[in-house]
Amino acid sequence: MKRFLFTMIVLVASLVALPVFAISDSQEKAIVDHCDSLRDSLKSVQRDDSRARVYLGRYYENILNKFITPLNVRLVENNLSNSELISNQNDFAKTRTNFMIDYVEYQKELEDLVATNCKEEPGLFYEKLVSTRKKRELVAKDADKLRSLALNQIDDLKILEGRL
Amino acid sequence: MTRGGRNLVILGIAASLVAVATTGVSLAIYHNSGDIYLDRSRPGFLPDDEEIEQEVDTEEEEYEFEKSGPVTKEILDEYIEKLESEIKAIDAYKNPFDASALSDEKLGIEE
Repeated sequence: MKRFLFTMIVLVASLVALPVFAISDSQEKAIVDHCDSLRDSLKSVQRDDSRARVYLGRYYENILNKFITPLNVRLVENNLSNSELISNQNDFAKTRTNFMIDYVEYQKELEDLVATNCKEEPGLFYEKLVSTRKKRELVAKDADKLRSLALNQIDDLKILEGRL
Repeated sequence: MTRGGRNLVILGIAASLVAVATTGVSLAIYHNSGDIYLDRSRPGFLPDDEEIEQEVDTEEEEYEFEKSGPVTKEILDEYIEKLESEIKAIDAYKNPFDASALSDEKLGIEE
């Protein structure tokens, strides 16, 4: 019985420890063969992302500090405080912070990926690539959420406008 | 070399080592905090013509909603119009951080 349990534990542990990605021989060869151009492509992605971060980051900051926050202050002053708009402000500020944090985490992973020796360790390189994609996905989700929160602001405001 | 001169050299070396160590620690903190990644993406870091154009474009449109004053339909209409143009500017940046940039296909490592 003990042996059976031990075997089961080892089996389950080995399944859990298995990598969630798989790299084929042809992919491994492609990584080794095109290692230098891969690095160049990743550096180009890094540059594009830096540009996107600063471009979008400026608009997010504008929307929060020049639109959402002053409007809520003014509504309170006029006794028109609106819980949806306040909740939207909190969500926007929180998501904007997450956007910055997730961007930094993603850039760290991307930098680590670029520094990985793809000629010597193609498997590790691919493992890091998969991980970097997940981090990038988080940044993209934050950007989508910020856009939809900005649209919510307009929808909530139109409802308020109808009550004036 | 006199004893005083030797002490001066030792002091100089020790001071240099301390300076190198503290600078190293500062840089490590700067890197680990992630601020380096935000600073690196600030305008001006990349000597890029396109980036400069974008900066000029956004500087032209400066609008800030006043924190005090009455709330009327006209004022809210203007607010909505300006906010819509901000969202439009965000949409002008096509597919930021989209998954395809790091796909196997794009990187040329598909099976």
